[in-house]
Amino acid sequence: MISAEREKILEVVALQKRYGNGTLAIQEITIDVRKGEFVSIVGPSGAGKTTLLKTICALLAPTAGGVQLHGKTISEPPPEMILVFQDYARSLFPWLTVMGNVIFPLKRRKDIPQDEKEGLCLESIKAVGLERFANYYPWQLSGGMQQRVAIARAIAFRPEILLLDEPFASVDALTRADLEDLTLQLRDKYDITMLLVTHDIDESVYLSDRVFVLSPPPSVVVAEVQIELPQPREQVRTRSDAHFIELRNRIHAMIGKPKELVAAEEQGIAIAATGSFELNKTTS
Amino acid sequence: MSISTRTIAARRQSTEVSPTAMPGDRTVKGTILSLATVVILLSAWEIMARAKHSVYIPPVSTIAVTFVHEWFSPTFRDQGIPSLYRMFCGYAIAATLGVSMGVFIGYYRWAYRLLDPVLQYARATPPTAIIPVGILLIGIGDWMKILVIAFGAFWPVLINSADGARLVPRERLDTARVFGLSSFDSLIRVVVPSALPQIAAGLRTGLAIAFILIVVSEMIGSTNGLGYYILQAQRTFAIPEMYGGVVLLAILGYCLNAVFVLVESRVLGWHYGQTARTQ
Repeated sequence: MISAEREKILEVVALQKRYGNGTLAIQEITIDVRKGEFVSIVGPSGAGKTTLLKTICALLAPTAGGVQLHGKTISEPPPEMILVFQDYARSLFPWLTVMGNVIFPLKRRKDIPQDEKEGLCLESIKAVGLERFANYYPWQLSGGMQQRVAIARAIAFRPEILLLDEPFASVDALTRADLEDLTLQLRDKYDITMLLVTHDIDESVYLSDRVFVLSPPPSVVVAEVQIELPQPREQVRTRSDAHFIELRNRIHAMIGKPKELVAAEEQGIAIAATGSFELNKTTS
Repeated sequence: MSISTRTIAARRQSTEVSPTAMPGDRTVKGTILSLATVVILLSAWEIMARAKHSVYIPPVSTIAVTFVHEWFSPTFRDQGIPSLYRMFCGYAIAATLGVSMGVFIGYYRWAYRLLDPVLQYARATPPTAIIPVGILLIGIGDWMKILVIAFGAFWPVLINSADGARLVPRERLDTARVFGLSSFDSLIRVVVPSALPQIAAGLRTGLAIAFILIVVSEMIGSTNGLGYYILQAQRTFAIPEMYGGVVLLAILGYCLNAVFVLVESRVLGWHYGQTARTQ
């Protein structure tokens, strides 16, 4: 677990986002991310999760509120924060090889010596297990491998924070488990802070130190859940842990409900904290 | 858009392997079949022409002899080279302006909205219709043909480039922005390569139009060139020469297209590899 004394590197303060057509996508969201933490935002479909991430990394401008990185409000995508998209087929460049894709963002960077760039990229490609495929084109690879390329490209840029927009939603279940574990490994190896949005409750619990639960749109945070599961996480052991199951059921009961109802129910759990876990189930 | 580029790719494969073979048939058998078709058609012409003794339809052998005599001589320099020169100048102008302006207006939405009415009007104008305007304003010199060709070939290049640039996936542009690329860098390093398949389609259409326009403009107002040569041959009853000119145009057209396909397959190998994958 990440200690509460760690520096808050990212703070989203009362963020509101209204689309151009007047629809309110995000009513008010306040979250924070501490250094080295793995934070998930879990919400139902259509809760504006992608919009939220795009607004956090300043691809979209908020209607109200703001995003602070190291205490400074951002208005342009900062180099410390890199977004990995769900749709790798669209975010990768099909005219470039794996190596070409990974080195692409580094080309104009002056702070890294020219002759070190290739080595840096090779290392990232190796870290995601694609060293044999550096000269392949992305479209010659499977979906899971393509998402690894997208992750390698992000890692090679050496960001402080990786924003992950449902990055494992378009791959099969086994590949998904592999990619989840890869993400955890990379977090440890490169000391990268992770902020994931997903609609998959199990995934959010499995990966995270903390989970924010969103309401249906217009989105608000209905609850913040600490995930105190032992590290390192392991697919079979962690997922069969009684505490894991309790957490996922708790989030399951909250998701897609209005904030007041969740607050009342959570209070009920707190009162019956010593009682049976079944209480939670009956309220849902 | 992806569906239409895919069908273009499919059509391309089926028509350009060999004009008469079945789609995708690259075997020796296919080559023999297509050669046989050519031989049969030419023989039929030869036999019928010899039987009919028509002045207007000379036998293939006569046309062939005239062809060699005419075109392996200074006539090619006097008639062929001017046509090619005008065509290349006009096409180069169309390609340069068409691609750069097209990508620009496709990328910047406001430019697209601003120019859309003009584009819709201009693309609907048959390019040959402006030849008389060209003659009126510029006369019948080289520049008339060059500008007419440039004008005619410009629109398909512009419109396809604009479409290609407009339809770059949002995620790709967002990725570039996340990695800190400036708007101009994105245009050059992301939009242009993304739009290349459509740009190539526009350039190909433009090339075909340029080829038509050079012939027509030389027939209407010129003192040399292949269009002029063919029309003069017809008017002076030099019938085998007339056919020889048509054959030369066909050969030139075929060669230009072949060069285009060769360059395209080099530059766009990734695109055809990708579409073949997703089919």
